[in-house]
Amino acid sequence: MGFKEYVARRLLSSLVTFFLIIVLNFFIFRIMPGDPTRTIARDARLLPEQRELLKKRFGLDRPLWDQFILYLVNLFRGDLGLSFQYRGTPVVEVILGRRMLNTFLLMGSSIAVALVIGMTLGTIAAWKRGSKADIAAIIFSLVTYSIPTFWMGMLLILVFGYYLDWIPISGTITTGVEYQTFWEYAADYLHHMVGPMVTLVISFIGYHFLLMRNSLLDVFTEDYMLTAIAKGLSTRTILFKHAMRNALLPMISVMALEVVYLFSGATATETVFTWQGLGLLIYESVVKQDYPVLQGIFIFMALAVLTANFVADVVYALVDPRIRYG
Amino acid sequence: MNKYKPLFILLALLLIIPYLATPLKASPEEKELKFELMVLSWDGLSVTAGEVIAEQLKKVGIKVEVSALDDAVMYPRIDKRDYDAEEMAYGVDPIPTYFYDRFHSSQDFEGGNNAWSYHNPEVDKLLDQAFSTGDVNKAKELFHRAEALIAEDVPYIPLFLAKDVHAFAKGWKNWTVMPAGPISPYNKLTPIYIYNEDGKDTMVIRYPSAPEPLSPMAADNGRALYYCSLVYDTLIAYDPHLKPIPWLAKSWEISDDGKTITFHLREGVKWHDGKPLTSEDVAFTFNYIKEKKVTGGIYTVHLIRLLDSVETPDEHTVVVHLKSPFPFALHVFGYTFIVPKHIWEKIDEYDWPASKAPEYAVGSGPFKFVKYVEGEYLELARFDDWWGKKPNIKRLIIKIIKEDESTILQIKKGEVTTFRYGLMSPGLIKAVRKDPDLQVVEAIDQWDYLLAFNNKRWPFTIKEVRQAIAYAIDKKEIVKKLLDVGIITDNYVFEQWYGDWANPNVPKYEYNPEKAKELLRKAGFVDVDGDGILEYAPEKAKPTTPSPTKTQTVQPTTQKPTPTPTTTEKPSGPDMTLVAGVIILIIIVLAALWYLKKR
Amino acid sequence: MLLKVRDLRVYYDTVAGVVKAVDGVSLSVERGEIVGLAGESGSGKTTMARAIMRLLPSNARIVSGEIVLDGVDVLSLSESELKDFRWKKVSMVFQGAMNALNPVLRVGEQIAEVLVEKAGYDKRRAWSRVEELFKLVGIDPSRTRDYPHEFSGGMRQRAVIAMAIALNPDLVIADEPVTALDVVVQSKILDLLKRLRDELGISVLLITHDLSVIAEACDRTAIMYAGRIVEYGSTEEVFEEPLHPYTRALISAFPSITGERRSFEPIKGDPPNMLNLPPGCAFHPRCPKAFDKCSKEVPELKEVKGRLVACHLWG
Repeated sequence: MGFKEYVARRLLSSLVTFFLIIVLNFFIFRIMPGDPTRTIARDARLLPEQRELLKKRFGLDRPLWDQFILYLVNLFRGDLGLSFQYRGTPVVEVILGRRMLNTFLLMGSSIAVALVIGMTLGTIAAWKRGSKADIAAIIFSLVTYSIPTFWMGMLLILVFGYYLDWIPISGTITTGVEYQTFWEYAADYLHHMVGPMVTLVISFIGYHFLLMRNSLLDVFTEDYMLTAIAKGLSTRTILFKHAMRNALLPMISVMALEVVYLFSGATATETVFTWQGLGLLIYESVVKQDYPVLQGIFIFMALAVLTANFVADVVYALVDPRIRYG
Repeated sequence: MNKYKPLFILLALLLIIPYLATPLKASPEEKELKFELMVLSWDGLSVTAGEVIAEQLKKVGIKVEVSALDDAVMYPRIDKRDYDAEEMAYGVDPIPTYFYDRFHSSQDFEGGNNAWSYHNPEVDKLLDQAFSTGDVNKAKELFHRAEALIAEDVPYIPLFLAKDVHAFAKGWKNWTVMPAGPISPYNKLTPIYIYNEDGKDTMVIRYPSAPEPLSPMAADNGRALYYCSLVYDTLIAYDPHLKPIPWLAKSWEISDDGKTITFHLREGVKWHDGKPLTSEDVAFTFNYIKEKKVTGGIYTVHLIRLLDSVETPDEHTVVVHLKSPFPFALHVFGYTFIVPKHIWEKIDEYDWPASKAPEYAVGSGPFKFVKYVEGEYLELARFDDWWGKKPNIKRLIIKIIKEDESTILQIKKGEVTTFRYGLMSPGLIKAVRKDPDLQVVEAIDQWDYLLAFNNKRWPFTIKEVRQAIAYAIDKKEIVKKLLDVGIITDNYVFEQWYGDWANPNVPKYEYNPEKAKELLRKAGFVDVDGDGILEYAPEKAKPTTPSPTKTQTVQPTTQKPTPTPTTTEKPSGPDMTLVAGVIILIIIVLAALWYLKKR
Repeated sequence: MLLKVRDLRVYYDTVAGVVKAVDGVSLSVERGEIVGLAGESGSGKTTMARAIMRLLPSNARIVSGEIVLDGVDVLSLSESELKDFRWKKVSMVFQGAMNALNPVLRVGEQIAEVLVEKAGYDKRRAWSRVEELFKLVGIDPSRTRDYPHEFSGGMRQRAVIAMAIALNPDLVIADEPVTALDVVVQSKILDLLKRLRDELGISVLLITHDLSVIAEACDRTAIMYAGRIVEYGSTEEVFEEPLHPYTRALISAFPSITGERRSFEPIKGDPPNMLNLPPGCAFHPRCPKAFDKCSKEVPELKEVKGRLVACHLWG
């Protein structure tokens, strides 16, 4: 099987999966109990004719089959329906825009930083396995990995936000400020991002560290590592050329899964810091039973996961030549 | 695998036996006095109160199984009347229309507010009369009579009104306290009169989530309504006792038949875009709501129902004709957000995009829309051409902060002034009350907690049971357990909100467990099997009944015969279960052995 | 003399106890010579090889002894001197060539990198040298850019050998170089080793458990048992007239290499427990000719009939 055929096959299976998810996504929210108009307007006193109008507005007056066809057709046109909680605002507009950008920036940078720090530490720890530094790093990782992010965020807010007054307590920007330049805005935004980012980086590092360390330790037992050492190569070549590339293979799938976070956000952290991202949106949509928004987010998430997995498969094939012929 | 099959069958049967045996346990006609009590899992007050109630009822021999459920599960069950009992907060607003919705039999439909399926033709008649008269005094009298009947029947037990606990940052002064607290959609006074001793001119109010929908026609939650109350004027406003005071209308008259209200508007009122506000705008607003069947706003449901036609004899006079009289018609039309005709006549879909953009957010209120940064904050500025007293603050910012804890920290730092919703967590309230950096304001909130019965389900079909539960509940203990964040009430119409609409002589059930037990015995409940839980056994209960003592406030009259649990009579004792169980077990073991032997 | 190992003792500290993997081994290899090191698995052959390259795992310690290669005292080399010493002086052909090559790097790259990093080649020269090496070991030079999994087993083994001779080392240690290859390929690889010895003048220490390999390729042979050398002499002599009972048993356990079939006699008894070796001669519990002394005294390696034997029968 050649590389092209391999990619084509993966693409096809991704598309089929995506279609199944779309169908499932529709029906899951239809079998949920309760009258949708009750969740749009939480008022039992609505007159029957008001209720009918609402149903019509949200297309809930049609038979299920019609709704399904309409859902598919609209989906192709990029229309995901209207939000309940943001009364009538298109779901696409609710999800895209500020919220998605907030989550992307926060999660992207947190994951990247955690990945770099965690992987570097993991590589060093694996190389110096059993040393004091290694043991200290393991304990640190296990502790930070198991601390609830919610609690950690609260702690950071209390110490650095309240007592030391170094970081803002909530939000992504300072309220009511007119920015003169873009850079002023960027600086303010990044200042607000410190708290949630540190929280996330701390909670992500442990995972990446342990994963990298274990992955490397596995690689170290391979014969080709002995060859590399016997060849008298420099430590840098041994670690980063021979070990890293092999150890990265399992990390690629992990990173692909982490792409989901770019869409799902980290609900706990976003909540503590009122970081208006998709994680917080999911949380609020669940609380307010805003099914169209949830439906939309799930579609985006499914798309992200599938794309990420597809890309991971391709990257995998590029990094590991064995796969192409698998 | 085949070899073990019989063993698995045996095991499965052994597991099933207890379930088969359960119905046989107590003798069939002696049904235990127990029920499931639903509480709202995310509401700490509801959960704690539910647990206290279960403890208290256990003492008089009633078994209560508390299930803490999420609203997504609980509300549909209430809507479908598929529950035994529930305990949580309902809500009220400045006009007691809920009194009709909660007790009129016509409101007992799926999703209707008569969630307890309370049917009393006499009450129906009184409510019908009270809500179709324009004569306020007559309506009040009818209210009193209906409330007395309801209190006698106890379709639900009112427990307490939650307290609205607000904290203000240091330096802020001169807020107005009224029911629902200093920051509520009914309170137009606080933002106008509040000031800061240190000269800060920006007030920051925290919201727990986004303020949408910002359209005054779609606003259907406290956050959106509060925003609208700042930007849009109403014809009347409320004083601290919720009495109507002149606002856009400097005066009004109601005709004797209660079918016509005439509002006289202030002169020289301007919209935020500088255009003059006239009676045309008011008439347009009312007609728009009626035609579009608008779902937002405060009393729009009644407006759509009541409005017949609007006349505008001149620029400053609005005459509203009603289809039928309504005792609260002044509030319905008076407390509606008035929108500018020149903008809204172009808006077809009233919920979107009729918000967010400044060109749509034109009102005539004391504050005008500046900008909304989605998910972050909403900025309002003082409208200097407003007709009334100029607010002391220049800017009002609504800031979204998810967590109560970080809100309190920001108030302590002075970054936030106060918040929209009162604090809910008793632990946080306790901490805030003793924090020297905060100014704490406590008022009556709009949430009334109640213990509701499904009046169509046994044992709540028996009036004595409902009354006995009322006697068995010690509301003082509940409120104490809740760190005193509630004010006990025995009324169905709250004096704290509605003044003399409440009946001061409504029958009360003072905490009296002895009386509760006595009532239960009279209703035929007695502890047959000695497990501390009462069973329904009328013939066993009667002989030992002590001579009935007269009660002072309530006289539980003998009701029509209460339906008994539907099971056929069988001469049996509790031992029957054991015997049956053992026999079944022996048969199964023998069968299994025989099966094994055969292999 | 190229390599001289004297009284080498390498012990492993394990959870179960101390394993004396190599316990007093002396061995020498001349220039241009192929020396076979044979023994059952666990007899300490691989530890020997690793010790010479200072590639022992972290739980191993060199208790005593001396390793001198071309006048260099290997055991006293510093970490950085080691890097220079490895591959330039001594290289290794690992057992299982599939795993000895890094699966994610091109085969040529794995050879070229040594040339670049250790012999100062520039990239292009390194790659053309790789092609030469490929030719030398008999692989189509156009395949230098293939990945290991694209090679057959025999090709991989040739590539590994090409890698081992890339820097013209004095000694190549070949640890089970032909195990898991079929017989035809085996003898081709062995022929290649012999040819390289003849052409390049390198010495080879060939480690194997397979006596037929030894017989086919080695000038001299050392037989190891339980961490010691029990017999050491010219291959011809050792095979013709094994002096140590273990050697004899080992040879009779294998089908004849010369073609004539001998009766196949497996060695009686269990391989020794390295954690708890029997006293005296470690082989005595399995030895058909054992007598009192064997269980009491460890036999010294002594010269008998022009070779070295460690057995009380000859003492």
